[in-house]
Amino acid sequence: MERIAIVGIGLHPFGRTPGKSGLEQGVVAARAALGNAGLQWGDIDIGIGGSRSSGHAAAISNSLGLTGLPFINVYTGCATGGSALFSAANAIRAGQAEFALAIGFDKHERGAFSPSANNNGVPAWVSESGLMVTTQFFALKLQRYMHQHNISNDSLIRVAQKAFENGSINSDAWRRKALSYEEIAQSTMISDPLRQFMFCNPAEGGAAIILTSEATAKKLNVQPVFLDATVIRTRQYGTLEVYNTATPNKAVPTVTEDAATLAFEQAGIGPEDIDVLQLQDTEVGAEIMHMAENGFCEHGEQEQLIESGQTYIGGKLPINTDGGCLANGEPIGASGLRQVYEVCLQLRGDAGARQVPNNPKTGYTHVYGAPGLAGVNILSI
Amino acid sequence: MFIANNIYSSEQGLLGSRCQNCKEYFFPQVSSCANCSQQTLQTTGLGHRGQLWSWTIQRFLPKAPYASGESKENFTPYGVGLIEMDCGLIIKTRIGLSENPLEIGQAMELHITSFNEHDDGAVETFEFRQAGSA
Repeated sequence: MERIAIVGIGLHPFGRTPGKSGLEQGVVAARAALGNAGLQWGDIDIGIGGSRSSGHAAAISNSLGLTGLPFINVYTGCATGGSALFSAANAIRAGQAEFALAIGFDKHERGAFSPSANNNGVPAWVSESGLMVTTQFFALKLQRYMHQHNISNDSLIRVAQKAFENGSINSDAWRRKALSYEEIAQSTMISDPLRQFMFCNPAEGGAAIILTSEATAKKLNVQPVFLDATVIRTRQYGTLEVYNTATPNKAVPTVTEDAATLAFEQAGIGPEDIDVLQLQDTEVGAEIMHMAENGFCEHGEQEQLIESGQTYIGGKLPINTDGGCLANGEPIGASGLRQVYEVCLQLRGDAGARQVPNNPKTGYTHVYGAPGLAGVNILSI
Repeated sequence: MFIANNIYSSEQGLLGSRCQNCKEYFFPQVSSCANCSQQTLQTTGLGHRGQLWSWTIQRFLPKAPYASGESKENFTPYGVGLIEMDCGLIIKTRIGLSENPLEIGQAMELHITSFNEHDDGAVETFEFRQAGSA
């Protein structure tokens, strides 16, 4: 398969930006990515992007220029960025584009998402009787996992503590105040065992990535980051997922396990070769479970890795170095591409105060989206 | 008035479907099998009992279309659980809370409970409670 290179990355800072629409934040991210690559909007041959709450990604053309380019809107929940990148890479491989833009942005109202039963093929009584709240699902999956694999409440607190500490040294993060162990441990219980500071919040922001072929990348005056694997998988029958009304009790791989396995196969390397990683951390338990589901440790091994500080920026397994969804919030369309943005910064050595030491060469990103799909990218320099 | 048709009967408990081809169970009833893609499904009772597989407590008022009629001021937190029924299917349900803490593996039983008061009478739904807790 032809090797794909990332040549431009752009971000609109995450958080709350009153008076600026999600779409406008997307435009800022796109212009930043173009500037980063040294390209003009007219150079882009295809755009692929999405948002949940801020309209059609294609509408960025109204601001950037109506060049006639093909533009495809995608939406796959929290995995939207992963799907956009996957499709953009394949457009280049198919010979449809020399330069492709993957973009995501969003601007959500405050408070937990209220997914539509109808849009997800779920009967109305499920949401009417209060059984379709996403926070519940994360708590249910985690409660079972903690019971099965001896994960303690201590690990949940420490993952949140790390996220906000990383966020405190990231000038683009939303939440830039480190929180103490006690502040997290005593925050309001939301959905047992998960407390207020253990969840990410719906937020705003934009992220954009420009891709091209390896051959074209060499002609540009940028340091390319290579996309050695880009995978999207949907769930197999039998997995426990966010909108399930019922689940058969079967031992089948999770959708994240499926995506990770395929990505490592494509890249020809293993989890032990990865220097910096971003894992979907909708809440702290997701980060913990995704460590094992992506193959970075055995189930139950997380407790020791977390307690000994290995998941911090200076550790053996630096996870969510920019503060992840916890410190950046979750603008659904933009989150997956923020992960790629962060890994590119780390591999280029441009991550400043949060730079992973010893020149990381390989990076990994993972998203999980409703109603049960996962996206994984493996990057190298 | 029950919150939905065809999800409960007093004799058979929760009503699901069973695929006549691959023998998988579903809840609520479906017309197509997510395992083998066949359309040969039959209504089947899933019973009144199961074991607690996982649980949480919903501590904030869900946004609409949550239809309990409560406001932020008078909202009462409710339990949410995954119950492994005797046939092996794990269903998501409301849990009626008692003073006794919920523990994974506990025996649970199905109850019908009043959910919201409308002009035309109470809306009822199903919930599970710890077995023997009334």
